[in-house]
Order: sequence, then structure tokens, then C-alpha cells
Amino acid sequence: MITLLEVSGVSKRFGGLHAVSDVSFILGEREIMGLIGPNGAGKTTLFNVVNGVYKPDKGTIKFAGEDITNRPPHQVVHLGLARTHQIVKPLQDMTVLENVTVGACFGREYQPLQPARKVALEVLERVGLAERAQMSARSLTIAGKKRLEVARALAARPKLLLLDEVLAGLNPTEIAHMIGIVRGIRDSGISVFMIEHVMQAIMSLSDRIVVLSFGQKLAEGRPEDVARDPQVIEAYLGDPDIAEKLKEKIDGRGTTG
Amino acid sequence: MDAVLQVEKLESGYGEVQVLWGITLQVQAGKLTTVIGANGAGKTTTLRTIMGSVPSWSGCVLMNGEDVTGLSTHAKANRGLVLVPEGRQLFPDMSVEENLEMGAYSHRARKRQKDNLERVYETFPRLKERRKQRSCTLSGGEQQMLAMGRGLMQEPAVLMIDELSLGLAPVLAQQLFLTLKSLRKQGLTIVLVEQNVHLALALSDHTYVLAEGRVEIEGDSREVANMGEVRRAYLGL
Amino acid sequence: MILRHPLFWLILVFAALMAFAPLRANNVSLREDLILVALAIILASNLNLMIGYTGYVNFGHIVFYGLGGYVGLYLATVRNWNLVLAALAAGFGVSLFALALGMGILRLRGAYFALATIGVLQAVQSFVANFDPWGRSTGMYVAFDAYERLGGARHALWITYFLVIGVMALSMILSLGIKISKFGLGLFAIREDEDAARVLGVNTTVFKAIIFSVSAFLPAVAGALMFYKNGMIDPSIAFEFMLSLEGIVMLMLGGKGTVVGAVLGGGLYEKLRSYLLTSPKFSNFQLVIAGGLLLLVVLFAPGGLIGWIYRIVPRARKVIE
Repeated sequence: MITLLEVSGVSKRFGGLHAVSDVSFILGEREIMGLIGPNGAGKTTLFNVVNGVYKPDKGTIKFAGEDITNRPPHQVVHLGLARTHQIVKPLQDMTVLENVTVGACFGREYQPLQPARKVALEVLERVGLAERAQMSARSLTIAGKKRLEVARALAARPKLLLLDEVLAGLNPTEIAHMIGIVRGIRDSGISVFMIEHVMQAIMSLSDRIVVLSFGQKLAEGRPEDVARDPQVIEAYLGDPDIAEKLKEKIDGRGTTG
Repeated sequence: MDAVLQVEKLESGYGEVQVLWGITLQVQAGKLTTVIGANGAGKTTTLRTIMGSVPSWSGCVLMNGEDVTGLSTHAKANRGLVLVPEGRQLFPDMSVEENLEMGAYSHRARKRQKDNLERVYETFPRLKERRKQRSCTLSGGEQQMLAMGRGLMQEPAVLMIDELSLGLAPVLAQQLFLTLKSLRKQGLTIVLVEQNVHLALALSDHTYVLAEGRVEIEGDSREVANMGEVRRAYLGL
Repeated sequence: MILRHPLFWLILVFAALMAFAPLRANNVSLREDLILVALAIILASNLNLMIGYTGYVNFGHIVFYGLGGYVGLYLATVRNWNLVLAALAAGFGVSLFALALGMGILRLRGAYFALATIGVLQAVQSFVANFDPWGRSTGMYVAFDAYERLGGARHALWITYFLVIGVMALSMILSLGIKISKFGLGLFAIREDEDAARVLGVNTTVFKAIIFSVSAFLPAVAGALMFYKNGMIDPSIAFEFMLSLEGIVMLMLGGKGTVVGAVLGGGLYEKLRSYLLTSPKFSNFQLVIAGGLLLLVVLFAPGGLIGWIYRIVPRARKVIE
């Protein structure tokens, strides 16, 4: 496996809050890696550090061999690392086609306007938005906006795509469609690193999973193994000890009063 | 057994994003019903939609058979539907006692305010000690007690609590849970949303497990305690 | 390519008409009317680059015009430079100033940026009012014989008129050119969502600095020409805050973000203003009416005249940029 992304010892603090603490992992080519963890675990913060929105306090990020630790986001995307946002950011008063053209114009290939439009149309076909190319982004449904967000990132011709909760808010049909898109992305040779809460989806999609909790990496491995890891289970289901002690108290007292 | 609170095919969301895709629950009188599920599953949204602070898109809420779906939040409170919200939402600059008095604001509760205040102080002696203190100076656990106390001041027919143990030291969480248990013994109907699955299953009579805005599992808490299924609802595998 | 766009040719025709109409009719008062319309179009079009394209509201836009006037007048009369060279130098000088200024204030967003631009306008005005070489608060005058270089006062007035028309055509062509370019697309992305634009690869810092500097160039050149023509400059007429505001009203009226909108808004508003100023009934209400218009547009027709046209004739979008 050729290493595409190497995250080493990354930490990020906001005042007293350790959002990400000493996280390390690697991601390879043609791989879908899932990033899960309870709310507030630091997942989006980690994405923001990887793609340059935040500078880490400690640690390094290497992408395709280059150190991108302190590079700003617009440079990171030129190297081939694109991302989508948890709360989608469509360019509202521009058309769907214009939105995706921006991605092609300023992405890894930095295309001039006309070729960029062609790339944009191709990408729109792939995600199923081609008929809505001339609509304003504002007028799309949430499912449409999510697809637009993905299309825009794909138009940048990335080698690695960061997807932040791309399934949130979608109904089962839309989820199935988006899962198909994500698989298609991986099959076309682009690696995917995705944050997701829709567990069944991410467990079935991912080749490997990283689990964060309170900013630290809790586990890493194949989905089946991670789902049975007692630490992971405890992170999601809570500390079983409290329940045990409580039961003792209740039973010990007989009827609580 | 009568269902004091019944929710049928409830759908709602925030802005364009749909969170609940048809929730159906039944809360039996005098029982402790718990709603668990992973983050984003829709637990808090369910309580908020029942209460009306998040408008429902479709489906209905029935109290003792009466359709209260369209009623305003305070009208529901007047019928005894009480929510202790996530994050407590106390009035920070008001004293403990003033916060409790605010709980008795509605018509229903005002008549027996004094009696209820005494009962709350009996249930939570710590609050009585600190009755004149500003609520923002209380510890996390005490604030949670105050939030519950304020809920009790509303003379609830159904007390809905969103996240009891969140951010609390285990000992305090235990204390509060024991208090809940005793309140239930006194006949109070309780709906509890809880992070800690083990606690929820250990304490409650009936459990609903939510995932992605739907009810995945439901049943008697002792039966639901087949952790394999619950784990699957949380972790997908 | 811009040469293929029909609007490009329309702009040339429009400029030609404006240039030759008063000449053919030998009508000096028409020329004086039209030069003000041309100036309005210049200011609105270049302001459009910041407000309409990039989404940064510059309340102090007139500072470029005033500074251009000062630099141009100074070079043309005190230093006896050729007018065209003086005007160009004014353009480049003020653009550089804008570039340096931009490094400081373009990191501000929204209302803070707008406030900063007002601050800049006031600061420059104060500075110039105390600046000896430029006549402090009295300002500078063009000695009458300075016009001899251009063949006398009458001749000079016509020449400056054509030059201003030229600057107007350039402003419109610049607007169009940027709008249909990749650079323009990047600016629109910044306007819609600056953070998303960054993540998509737009070097927002550089783009903003460039457009801010570019938006200063032609107004500065126009300033040099206009104040030279008028024969005098002083801090109060060079840096009138009201003119800045009126620039925004013109743009909103016509339709920000479009080339034609700036023209329509500039032209219409200028006509309205001169009517109001000369009408005995309304001369005191000019600003009230300007403010009222702005309010109405923002509340009911935020896309201005052109936005309204787009709504009733959707196909117009393709032709009218």
C-alpha cells in the first residue's frame, strides 16, 4: 500500500480545550477510511488541521510525500487534497455549473475557464446533477446541495477527498445513492477519508476505521474489529461501571425510597 | 395500562435537514421510559418536537388520548408535559429559589407552589442549603438537581429529561438516578434520554433505541439488554 | 474571448455616441451633462468590482478619485507634466496606495471592512488638508495658462472630455472582461462564501488585493482629468463622503454585479441628481431622496433594475451581463 496521507502526532488546542491530542495514522491509495467517534471527539477539527484551515500545535501532516503541515487551504487543494463541509457551503447565487467550475478552475489542475466547464459538466454527470446545471445553488434541496458539495470537490481532481458527514440529513434512498457515489470515487482511483455518524453506511463502506474520542485516537482497524473493541463500545455506550455500582445500590437497599 | 403520552410517526427537522423520520413511542403511566441512541440519532430532537420547541412536520402527539400536537409549548406545559432540557438552561443570575419559583410560573403549578417547593427541598436537601445562591455558582451536579427541581415545580404529569448524566461525576450521576428511581416509585411518569446505555437499561422499565431518526429497537428494558443488538444500533455492526 | 461578446461592441458604440453627440451638435452644455454621466458610470463600474463582484462594500471609494485628482493636478500644473502622463501616473500611484492599504484592511470582513474604508476616507482627507505641497485646506488651482499646452482652454475642455469618455469605455470593458474571466469567477466565489473559496483553491488574499488595487486605477485617472478640467481642487470637494454613498446608490439602483447595471444606475441617478439640484422644489431633498431610493431598492429589489429585468425576462441573463 502506497502511503498517501501521513498524520503524525497531531495536536490542536483551543484555549483549555484539547480538541485533538497526539493523533497519528496513515492512509493509502485507493482506500476508504472512516473516521468515527462520539460528538465532540475532534473529528472535524482533525479535518480542519489536515486541510490547512487550522495550524496544529504539534505534529506533522504529509501528503503524497510533501509536508503540508502549515500550508494554507488553497495550496493544499492544489496538491490534490479536497474536502467537503459538514454544513454545506454552496455558492448560493451562482449556478450549479458555476459552483463546480470554480472547483475545476482552482483545484489541482488549475484549468482555464472553458476546459474547467467541461470538467464540471463531466463531474455533474457522475453525481447526477447534470439536469440541474443551470439552476441556482440556492434552489437545490439538501440532497442536491450535498451532491453539489461533493461534485465541487471532485472537480478539483483530487487524489484524496475528505468527506465531512456527507450522509447527514439524507433519507435512505438518498443515502444509498450517495454511498454509490463514494464507492465510485474510490473505484476511480481517489482515496476517501470520511467522517460519518450513519454507522451502517460507514461500516460497510470503509476499508479501515479510525475512532476518536475526546480528541484521542481510541482504535484503528477493520470495521468488524473496531465495532467489537471494548474501548470503542464503552466510548459509545458509556461506562458500564456506573451501572454496575448503581445496580448494587438498588439491590442492596431493596426498595429505594 | 394507559399510555399517558403517545407519539405517532413523528417527523421533524431543522431548516431543510430532516432529523426524525417517523418516531412512534408510547409512555406508560408511572413507568420510567428511556430513549437511547448514538449522537445524531434524534433523541433530543424527539423531546423537543414533542414539546413543540421544534415544530413537527407530520405525525402527532397525544396526551391521555387528547391530540396536543398543534398546541403551543406553554399550553402543553399547562397540561403537565414538562421538559428538563439538555444543558439545563437555568437562569444564571437568579437564585436557586427564584429558579424554582420560575418553575411554578404556569397556572397549573402556581396554586401549589409552596407545597411543591417544600417537596423539592426534601428531595434535594443540597438545594435547600443553597437556596439564596445564584444558580451560576452551583456545581454541575447541583445545577442538574436544580433543573430537575424546577421541572418538578411544574407539577408534571410526564417529566421528560434530556441527558441526566452528561458531564457529571459518576457519584453524582448515581445520586440523581437514585432520586429518579424514587420519584418513579412515587408514581411520576418519566421519559429519560440518556447517553450511558448501561445506566439507561439498568434503571428503566421500557427502552427505545433510536438510530438515524427512527426507532430501531424497543421493548422491556431487561429484554433489550441483549447488548449485541444495541451495539449494532450504535455501531452499525 | 471578450471580442466575441456582443456587449463589448455595444460598449464601443455607446462610447462613440457619447463622444460625438455633443461634438456634432457643438453643444457645450450637453457635453457638460454627459461628462458627469460618464463620471458616474466610471465610479459605479469600478465600485462594482468590489461590491458587486467580490462582496466587499467600500464606503470610501471616492478617496481614489480625490487622490487621483490631487496627484494628477499636482503633476500637470505644478510639475508641468503632459496631462495624459499625469493622469496615468495618478492612476498607478493611487493603485499602489490601494495595494498597500488593502494589505491592512482586506483582512477585515463585512461591516468592519466597510467601517475601515470610511475611516480611510476621513484620514486621507485630514492628511491632505494639512499637507503643504498640496495647498492644505485651500487646495490647488490650475493657472489659466496651463491650458495653453493643450491649445487653450476651450480646446482643453474637449480633449479632457474625450479622455474621460475613453476612461468610461475602459471601465466598462474592464468590468465585462473580469466578469467573464476565471479571475472573475474566483471573485464571485469569494463574494458567495470566502471560506469555501479558500478551500476550493482560490488565493483569496491575493485576489482581493488585486481587485482592490484595480478598482482604484480608473477612478484615479478620471479624478486627475476631472479636477484638471475643473481647474481647482480642495479637500472638501475631492473627498466628499456623499459622493461615495451616491456611488453605492447608483450601483444598487442599476443592479450590482452586472456591467450594464452600473451604467444604468450611474446614468439614471446622475440625471435624477442634476434634476433635483436645479429644481427649486427639491434641491434640498437630494440626499433624502437618495437615501430613500437606497432603502427601497435594498428592501424590495436588491438586484436593482437589472435584477428586475432578469426576473421578468430570464433569457436576458445570457445577453446582458
